[in-house]
Amino acid sequence: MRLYWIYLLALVVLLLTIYLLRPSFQLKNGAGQLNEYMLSAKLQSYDKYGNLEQLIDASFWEFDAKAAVSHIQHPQFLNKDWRIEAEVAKIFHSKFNKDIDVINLQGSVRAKMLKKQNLTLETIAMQYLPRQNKIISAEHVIILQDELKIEGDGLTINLTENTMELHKNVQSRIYNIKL
Amino acid sequence: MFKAVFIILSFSCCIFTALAEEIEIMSDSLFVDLTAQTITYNSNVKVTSNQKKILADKLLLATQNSQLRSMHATGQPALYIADMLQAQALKIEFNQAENNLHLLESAKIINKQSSIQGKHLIIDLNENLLIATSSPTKNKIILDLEANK
Repeated sequence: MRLYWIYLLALVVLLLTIYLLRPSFQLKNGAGQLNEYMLSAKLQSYDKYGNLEQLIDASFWEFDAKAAVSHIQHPQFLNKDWRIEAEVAKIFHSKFNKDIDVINLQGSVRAKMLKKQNLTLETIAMQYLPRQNKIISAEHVIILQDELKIEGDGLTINLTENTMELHKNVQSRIYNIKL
Repeated sequence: MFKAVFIILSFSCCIFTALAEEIEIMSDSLFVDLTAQTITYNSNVKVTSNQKKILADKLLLATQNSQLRSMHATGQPALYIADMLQAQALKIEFNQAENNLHLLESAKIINKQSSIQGKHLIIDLNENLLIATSSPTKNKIILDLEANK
């Protein structure tokens, strides 16, 4: 019986150690290497003042150094305005520096606006383009905000101008309103 | 500014019988300005609420704290269609706080047996009233009680 408890304790310590020692690396500041398989990982970038600009957290991370592509599972993308979750993602890194060219998010993609509005977007695929500071999707998108539901095909979010466009087949419902 | 008020009881029975609790809006495309809190529906806009419809080329929704404040429809012309009534104007504005529809520029309301035209017609959704306003020098309000005869 005592041996059982020792094994259990050892297992807990092992799991705790794995969790605490999980790799974490920074993109622009150059710490860490993107060249390993990881059970979980974070990719952080900072602005020139040292403030966290964006964070990508994933439960599994595989970096293909030759192609400069990361394959990640259960990613969570966070910047000052949005939190985006998906089932899988591919990050296309620039081969010349450590910047990100494109992030392709796939699966059940859910984006939530953190400030101002209680706004949620749902779709099956989305792309983040850091250089243009835009989020785009060619798929069917559902936008929910309190008593408003909007659906349509094709999305562009301009993060600089704080605007959002649906390009085709727009259908929306506003609840609790009389006309 | 001269203001003439017409209360046409015959319109009231065909306007606003049902009070729908939601509206549906369809369009070809949509633009949201998150800073200005506006939503613009573009091209082939169709607003449906129970038995009522608005057809327009463009619809602008102004919101505040996630609540609808006002709705501006524009078209050539924009149409408002209720059970037995059709209204048209270049601009139709729905004011949520006052619960009325403003028909602006080349406004016209037609029902089975009569019509009214003017620069600015207001349909009060609370009181079931039609209010027509005009300038004494520039505009006329024309009331035709036998429009479709």
